Amino acid sequence: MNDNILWLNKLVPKHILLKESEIEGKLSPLNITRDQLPKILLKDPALKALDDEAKPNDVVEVHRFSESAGSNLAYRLVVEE
Amino acid sequence: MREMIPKKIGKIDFALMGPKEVRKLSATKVITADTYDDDGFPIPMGLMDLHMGVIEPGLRCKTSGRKMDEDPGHFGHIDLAMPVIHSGYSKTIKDILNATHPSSGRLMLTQDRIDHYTKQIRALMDSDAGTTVSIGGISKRAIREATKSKSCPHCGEPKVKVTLDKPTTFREEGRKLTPKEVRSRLEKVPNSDLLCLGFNPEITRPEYMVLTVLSVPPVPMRPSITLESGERSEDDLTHKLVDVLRINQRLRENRDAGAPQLIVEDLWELLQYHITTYFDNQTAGIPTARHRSGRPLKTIVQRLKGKEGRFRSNLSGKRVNFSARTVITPDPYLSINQVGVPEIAARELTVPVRINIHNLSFMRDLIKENFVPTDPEKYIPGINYMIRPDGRRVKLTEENWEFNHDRLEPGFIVERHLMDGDIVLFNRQPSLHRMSMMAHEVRIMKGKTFRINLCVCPPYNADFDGDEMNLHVVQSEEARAEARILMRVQEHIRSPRFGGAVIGAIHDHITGMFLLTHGTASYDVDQTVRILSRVSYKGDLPKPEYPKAEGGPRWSGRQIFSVLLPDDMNLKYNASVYFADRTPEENKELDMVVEIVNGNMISGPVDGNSISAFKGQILEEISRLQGANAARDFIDKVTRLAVGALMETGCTTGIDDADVPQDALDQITDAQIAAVKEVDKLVNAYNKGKFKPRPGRSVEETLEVEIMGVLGRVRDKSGEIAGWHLGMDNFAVIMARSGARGSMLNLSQMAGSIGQQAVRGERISRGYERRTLSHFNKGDLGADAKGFVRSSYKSGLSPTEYFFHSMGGREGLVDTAVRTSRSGYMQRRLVNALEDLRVKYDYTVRNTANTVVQFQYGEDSVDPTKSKFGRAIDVDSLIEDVKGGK
Repeated sequence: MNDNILWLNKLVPKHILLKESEIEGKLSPLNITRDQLPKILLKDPALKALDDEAKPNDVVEVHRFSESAGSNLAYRLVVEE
Repeated sequence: MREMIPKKIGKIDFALMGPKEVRKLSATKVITADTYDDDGFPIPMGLMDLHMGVIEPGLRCKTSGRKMDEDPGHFGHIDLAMPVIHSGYSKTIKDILNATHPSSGRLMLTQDRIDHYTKQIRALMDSDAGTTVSIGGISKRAIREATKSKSCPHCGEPKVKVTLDKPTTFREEGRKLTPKEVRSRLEKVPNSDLLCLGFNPEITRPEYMVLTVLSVPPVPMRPSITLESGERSEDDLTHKLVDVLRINQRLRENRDAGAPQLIVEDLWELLQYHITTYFDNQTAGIPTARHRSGRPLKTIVQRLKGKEGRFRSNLSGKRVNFSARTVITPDPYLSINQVGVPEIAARELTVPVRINIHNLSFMRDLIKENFVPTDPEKYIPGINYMIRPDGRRVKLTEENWEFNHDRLEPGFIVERHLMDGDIVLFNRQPSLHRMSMMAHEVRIMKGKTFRINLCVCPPYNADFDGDEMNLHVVQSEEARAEARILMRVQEHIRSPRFGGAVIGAIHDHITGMFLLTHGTASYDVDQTVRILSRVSYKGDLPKPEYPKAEGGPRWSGRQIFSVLLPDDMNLKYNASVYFADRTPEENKELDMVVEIVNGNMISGPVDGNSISAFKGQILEEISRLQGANAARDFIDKVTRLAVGALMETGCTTGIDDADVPQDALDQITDAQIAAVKEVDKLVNAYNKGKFKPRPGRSVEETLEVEIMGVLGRVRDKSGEIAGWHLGMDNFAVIMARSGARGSMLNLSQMAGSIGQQAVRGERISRGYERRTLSHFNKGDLGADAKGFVRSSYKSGLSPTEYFFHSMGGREGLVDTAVRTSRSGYMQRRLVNALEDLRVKYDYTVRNTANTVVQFQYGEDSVDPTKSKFGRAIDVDSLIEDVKGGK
């Protein structure tokens, strides 16, 4: 996570761009293929604030605060639009 | 009907139909505007031509040879003399005219850009995975980009802007474009540019948006009806088509005869009007076509659109069989799981039962018993129809029952009347909830109303001022099992909304239990046995709490209630009657703290905080830890116990429950006078300009806030004074404090003073110029002039007070009316957005495309119904358990 001002807001969840080699390991336990993931737009400010530049078909991991469970992991597929 | 589907559907393309397809689809050309000849026979090539299907019995369709009801009909067509704009596509036409060059027809983008967009759309067409991008979205961007260009990149000529006069007139620099011109421009657009514009040239072309031939719907879609007088009345669509045909004919004749341009144009426009209203009779910008009587015609769009349209009224919702509707009335002796069904309804509602060797003789007995009853007073379910193994339905009658009784054998299905224990669905509209439709077990009863236990009123939001409810008999074994497991009332005691009980004791049940268990209430042997007999208590009486009482041993109400508690229950909490303004010790002294040890109530009364929905601690404990069955049993028994207790003690309230001593009234008046004086002081200070505003507020606002504060305090004060004199010997107070019904505020408004009336959260300020009523001086800011009501409901209001009170009351009514319609629409949108989401076995939430919406249901996979107010684990009670009550 870099020092982009975006991450200072507590309402913005932490985004991590997954490496191609990691994706399989993250998704297969969930029994999900890439096309079943929720999408995130390439132009999403959170992606622009990442260290590495995201490209379509990448997967990001989102660490979010959860009212019920404390913390929550979600995955998004990067799409152009 | 099966012969009509000879092929399997591989794919469906939704596109505009061109004139070629319309003609190919057509069974006949329609040229005559007439329908039937003098003999009432359809005129060939008229609007009711037999080629388009039949609506009279006896006749046969000339296209397929089928009779009425077997034939869905066939389309015909009308050749239009002059082309006409399809009003539904005028926006698209405008976009395309503006994006293409008029003379060459080329899309005004460079070839590079065209290729770029075409490639994107092609890719999308080839992939069949669900995406968030649509072809329409891409073509929209292409069109926007082309419209922005100043000149055509292909020929270099400047472009001219086309505007649209809704609904169907196109203008270019003020000059009208005829539909013919529009069509010829659209024809010029080359196939290679079409994909970019969102058209698949293999299927459709933009010029199809300008009609040259009109499809005529089949006759069965617009049947004429014969009135009692023998007069024929045509469908609205037929009427409209008659108009189209007439004008079309005149237009053709005039044009062919070489009539003046003006006349032709007028007729052409008229044809355009008729065709536009034929599609949509509510098109903005043109008058609606009306019937001779002045009623607007119901044309194609009106048939489909809205709440009464085909989709919402006939496809999403349908009328059903095996259902009943009648008034509801209460019956506290029914279980919450049950519903009382009147005999006459039960004899119409049936359950299909397949005959096997086990139930054969039972069903035979039912048939016999129904036609030769042994006890006419007793309800014995009968059988309306039997269905033979070959699928024929036979109605059982006085004549044939003996024959059918004998031939009944395994493999038959009989439609048996409802009987005790059958499972049915029960529903009250509006169904805003899953609790609005629950499964009940049937109890056949005398009378003509549905009967329900009072505890299920809140989930249905029902009362007995004439409410009616619907009952549905589930027809398959699977549906019955599902209803019993998932939909029974007891499965809905705990709410999925917040993890607490929504069904619990109400009103009288709470008063009754309070009267049974409060303070030192005790009962002699007779009373105790009478009360306990209502919950069918079996076993010995507990050891009496007051064995040496005068007149024999007496049992405390708490002992009687403890019979319902599980032996391992340990609880301690404050009762509803707990005095929040006194110390815990004082409350304990006054018996306002409930303590349960090993299933025995030691202290405290049973009231709202014990057994009501939302707040009841005992109910919460039982429903969460012991399950739905135990919770249902508890609620049923509390209901009966409460009724038993009320029968012993009695409970009544009336106007004298709002009586307070004169000196209390004087105190209230004094407090009010003091408050009004204080208000006057504030107003005076304001008038002299000595008032200092609070931060962030204007002087006026500050004054209002201060006055509201003063008057609010005096209302509380008078409530307090009244409350002091209204003790626990007062049934109205018992009801309010125990959480049964009403509040201490209600009581103090009856006995003491009603207080400040408000509209939009402010003191009343509207009415005449600078005053609310002509009874006051202009600019009077005092309490009385701005809606302060000194009187109580019991003493009665002065005329001005009454007026202010009505203003506040009216606002409440308006608010409810506005709120219901708004929240109804909001709910509809939410339901439509969420209806196809579901929790899969791996706890992911997915939609119908099987894409993940939530990776873990609720992020913690907790079923809120089984949680304690949203928390999966109740840490506090776990600790108590571990400590072992120490």
